[in-house]
Amino acid sequence: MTAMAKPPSKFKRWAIRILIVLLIVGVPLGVFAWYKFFRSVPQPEWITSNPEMNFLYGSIDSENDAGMPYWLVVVLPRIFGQHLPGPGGYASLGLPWEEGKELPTGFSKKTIGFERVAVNCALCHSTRYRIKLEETPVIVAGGGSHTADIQGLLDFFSTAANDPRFNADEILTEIDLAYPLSWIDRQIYRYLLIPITRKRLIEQGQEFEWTADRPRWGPGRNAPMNLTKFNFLQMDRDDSIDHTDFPSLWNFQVRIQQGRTWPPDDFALEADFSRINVEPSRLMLMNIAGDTTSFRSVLIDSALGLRARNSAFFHRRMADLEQWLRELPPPKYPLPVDATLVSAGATLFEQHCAECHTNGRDNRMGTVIPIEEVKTDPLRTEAWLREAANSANRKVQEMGVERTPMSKPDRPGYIAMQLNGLWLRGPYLHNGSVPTIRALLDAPDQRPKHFYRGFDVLDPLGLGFVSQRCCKGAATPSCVDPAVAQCIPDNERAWPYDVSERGNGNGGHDYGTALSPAEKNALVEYMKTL
Amino acid sequence: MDSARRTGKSKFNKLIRIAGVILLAVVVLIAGYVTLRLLDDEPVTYANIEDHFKHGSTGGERGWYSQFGFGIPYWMWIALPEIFPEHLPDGKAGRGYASLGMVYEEGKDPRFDLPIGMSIRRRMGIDRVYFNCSVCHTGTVRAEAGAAPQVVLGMPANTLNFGALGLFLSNTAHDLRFRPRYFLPKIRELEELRENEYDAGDAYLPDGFNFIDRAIFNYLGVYLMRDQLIALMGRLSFIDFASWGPGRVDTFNAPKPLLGFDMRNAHESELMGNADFPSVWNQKYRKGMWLHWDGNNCSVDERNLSAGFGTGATPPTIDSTSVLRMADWLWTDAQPLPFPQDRINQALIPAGEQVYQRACWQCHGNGKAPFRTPDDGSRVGTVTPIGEIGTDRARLDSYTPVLASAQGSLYAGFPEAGEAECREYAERVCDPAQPDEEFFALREQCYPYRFSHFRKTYGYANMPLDGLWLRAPYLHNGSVPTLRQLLEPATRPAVFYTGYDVYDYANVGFVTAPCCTGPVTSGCVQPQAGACVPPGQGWEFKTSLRGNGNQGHTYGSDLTPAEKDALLEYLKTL
Repeated sequence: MTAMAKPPSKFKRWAIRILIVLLIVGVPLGVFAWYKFFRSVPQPEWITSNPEMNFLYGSIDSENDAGMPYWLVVVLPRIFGQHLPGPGGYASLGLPWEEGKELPTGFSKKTIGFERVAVNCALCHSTRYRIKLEETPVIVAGGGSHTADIQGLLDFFSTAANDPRFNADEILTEIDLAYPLSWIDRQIYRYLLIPITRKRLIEQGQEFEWTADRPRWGPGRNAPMNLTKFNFLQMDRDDSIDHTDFPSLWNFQVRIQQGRTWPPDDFALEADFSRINVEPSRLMLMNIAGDTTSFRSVLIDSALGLRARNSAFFHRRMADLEQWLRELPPPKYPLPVDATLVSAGATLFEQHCAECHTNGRDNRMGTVIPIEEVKTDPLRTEAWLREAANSANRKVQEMGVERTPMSKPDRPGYIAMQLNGLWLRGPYLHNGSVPTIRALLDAPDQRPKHFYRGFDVLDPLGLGFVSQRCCKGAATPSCVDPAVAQCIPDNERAWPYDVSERGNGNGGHDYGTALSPAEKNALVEYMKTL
Repeated sequence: MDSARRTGKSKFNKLIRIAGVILLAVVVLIAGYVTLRLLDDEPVTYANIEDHFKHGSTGGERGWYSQFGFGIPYWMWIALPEIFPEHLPDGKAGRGYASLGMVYEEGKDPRFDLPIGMSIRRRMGIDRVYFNCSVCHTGTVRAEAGAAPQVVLGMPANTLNFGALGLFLSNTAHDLRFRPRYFLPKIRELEELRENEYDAGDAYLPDGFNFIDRAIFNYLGVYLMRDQLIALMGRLSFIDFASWGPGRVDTFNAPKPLLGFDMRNAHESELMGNADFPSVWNQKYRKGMWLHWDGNNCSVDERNLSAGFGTGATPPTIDSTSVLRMADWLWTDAQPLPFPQDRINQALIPAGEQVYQRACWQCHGNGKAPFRTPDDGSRVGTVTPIGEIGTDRARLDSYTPVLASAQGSLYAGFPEAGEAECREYAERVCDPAQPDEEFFALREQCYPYRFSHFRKTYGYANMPLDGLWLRAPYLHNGSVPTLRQLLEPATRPAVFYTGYDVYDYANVGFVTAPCCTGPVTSGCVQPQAGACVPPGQGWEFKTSLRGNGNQGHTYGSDLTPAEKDALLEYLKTL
């Protein structure tokens, strides 16, 4: 008699059946999930193989944590146009937008499962100008944007998210007008992407509540240190004001001289300047008030602030960006200059400005000028504290990123900036409180107390941008007669700047104010060539 | 006893089962009907290309729910002029939309036939109508009041008052009689009338309403239609439709609400964009020229897609095959009617051509296609700055820089084949040197595609002058009635009447002077003395109104009278 094989136990049979079912269901589900939510597709070649396009539209690997679903980015301005300052979609926020492109500069589109849009460095660091009113603006990558209303952009998203019309029905209807989404994608949007985005945008709005009772940033500015303290570090709110213009990033190599910076491979958690072998008065620091110790740190921290991921891709991008920006030539002034005046101006510059503002010397350029000396609005220096710097360093290290530390100079003040591309960097001083270089050469009480920023036509006389509105009738002190000089027409938006608001003080930096008008003109002419 | 109960019970069970089967069958039938009905999407098609241009569908009827294009149910379209004649310009029922300048061909019955420029598509079991390209790009011309009008395809729609049509739809939608209680009996009445009096020949005959249709319209359809009309016209309410007049449209204010622009805060300078409908012949030779009156796009395809929005052809609704069939006919085949030979002084043509070369060629290129050859030095198809040309700038200002940017998001997600795949197509779509076969081949899988060629300009584009005589009145805003007046700026009238299609062959333009109704006053013409626009016909065009300025383009005004005469004879031949 043959021995009968023992049949598998009931438990085993069921276990096998369940396992098979799980495999049959789970594997396709897993593949589907990977495809729809995690599959990463590189951006197209025209972006990744061109450094300028990569700067303007390339990913810094923030789409995973902060990318918004693409179709929401497309249709939100169409649904919530009334929450924007005027007609134009994102263009109404002053964001530079190349003709023919789908999105403004500073927006990167990338597929990670589904198409997402995140922001990159160019959102704040691409600028634009016009020479005359009736022409298409030129966009310059790497420039500090003076037109982008970033607070307006944040407000738009959070107001939209808090609007009861931010729901799947309304949004899918609008998407339907634009594109036939597949049934599966509709369900993904309806049950996942729309509710999750709404929640995140509402949260983001709450994270920025601290801006509500402070002066508006206005176009071209943000609150960089408060952002870091309150949003990144979750520190307790204080009432500091730190409005700062977005800086221009070209030719950054001049801010880094051998032996005068924090050691580039010293990733200490505290910027203890007594440890390093550089005299404080020669120490070259970064950010307008010396809040950090290397250019690479600035790039990394800014990108981390945009929720970039600590990935190999991210680090490659940062290295490439640093290289590109260090050597990026400053844009050349597009109008003719008077050679005689330039040469006279060069001499005056050497006498009155070179100590702090000429590149390539062992001078004060790139170092912190104490506030008692430069006497500009001090609130920006008071907004940042050593504790915050150390806290930031610890947090970044916890994220697994190594970079030189954020810092707080022993004697607070503002960095003497390099002046490359100065013609494109109006308005001036760290808070944009002085519209033109010519006005900066006036005594502080002579500088305009009220002007407009965000208008991008160059002022070739004063250097900077045209900053007063056209008179509609008789000329008054606060408007300009269009027959006499360039002015802002009333069909163009511009933001009123009031120097009496906290953080907007336009005093200090009174160097050169005692020169004669002719000398000032020569100086201005020379500075066009920087 | 048991068996009786069992049989009773089983009889009951059997009944239940039969009822269940019947119910199931009914449910399946209903489900089947609903599915079939919801899935259908059949346009009425035409083998003949000219019929296709006149009545082919661009997909606009497909829109439903809150789409921008939306099919107007055929029977509602037919019933509207019958229920609301007082909202029509002439107050008369029985003429369809003729009083709004829509063109009904010879032999068509305006009560039941569609005018040129409308198409039918059966969608969800309902025949719907909407506009197509020819509504704005087909005109009429005749030699005298008594003559039959000649229909010219591709010509600007000189008689159509599209703004008044929009207002008609809006006014009826706001009228308390826009309810099923008025529509359904009228539709029934019209169905009977059609049965008795109308012969469709071999044309498509839309079905009457069956009981299901009547129920749908009674409880839902009429209200949905009213809601759609009010919503659409509401979004466009910042536009001054009454100012358009025949032959004109405010081209670029209409897309702004499509992109969600909140026009309540818009600056006044951008709110008046009235411009003439252009002609659409010879598109091949316009490839790469800067198109639209202000030269804001060099791609014929993009320009067509953009204009297509006006016919309800949006990214999800567009019938690409049908649209491309029309576009391809306009490439080289569609041609203007030639100017009557017997009204041209042939002897002056050679001299006229020389004057043209000297005084006009620089901007307008060759008189006949191809309008330019590479490096010939003409500026045809380029933009002349506004300061130079000096014409009315309202149209230019209505197209704003932010609109140009925002249009880059239209047709986002297209082409389906992917942007990388179609880069070559998009990059060469403005290249006149590209061979046609290559262009059509690339277009095959890349149409439609995301708009990427719109730009803001600061002047008006120099256009080729093909079919010039049929493109009156002149300048972008139609503010100069005749070519003679274009050459003699002092004679340009301040007030005249448009929409009348009788032609003034001597001065080259339509007859626009009103007939005198009493003693001769300035600008009017005694009916016995010459052709004039009879009272009640024609639409008053006042050049003093915003956007209607007739100044500028004074080129040729300093030619001698003999030169002007010769030039006019030559221009007639274009």
